[in-house]
Amino acid sequence: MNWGSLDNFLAMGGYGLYVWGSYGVTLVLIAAELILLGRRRRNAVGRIR
Amino acid sequence: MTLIALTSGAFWGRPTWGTYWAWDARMTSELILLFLYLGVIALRNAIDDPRRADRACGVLALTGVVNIPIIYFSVQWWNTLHQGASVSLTKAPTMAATMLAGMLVMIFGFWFYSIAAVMLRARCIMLERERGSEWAGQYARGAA
Repeated sequence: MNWGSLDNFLAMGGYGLYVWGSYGVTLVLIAAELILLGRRRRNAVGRIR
Repeated sequence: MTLIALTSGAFWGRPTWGTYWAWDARMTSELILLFLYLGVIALRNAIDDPRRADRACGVLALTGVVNIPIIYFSVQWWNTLHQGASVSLTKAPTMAATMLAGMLVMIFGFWFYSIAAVMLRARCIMLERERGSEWAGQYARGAA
């Protein structure tokens, strides 16, 4: 691609904070939702048994 | 009950927006959408009887639908920071091919994730509400 080195890739042309920040927030939100859903399901199944 | 699943699922599945804030029409109407979702969730938790909560949330959600076309057309009705639509079904896209490909992949990815999350949530709600029934008992004993 166009970056040449890992440092350049991480810097994202000076916008690294925004690019990786939005990846991070998205990742955290999705992970949180999946964890909450899994816990809710386990609770529901556990209460029936 | 599916309505609740839909709204909460859509709320969680919604991708993040930009870091910095400006009171332009698209952002403001999107913020109102967020508040509507929070309002639905708060209303749902405020009413103890699930059936009454469902009905109240359904009404609130139907009122909230008014906001959807406002968000969609906000870039045309008001002069905003956002550009008009870059991609449409009838015209050739006005963006670079690599960006278009990336955007399409992300659109489908987030849509499918949102749908999956809504369905997982709906399954939880069904198990919680039908916990006395025969099939729920059989299912729970079968599931780990």
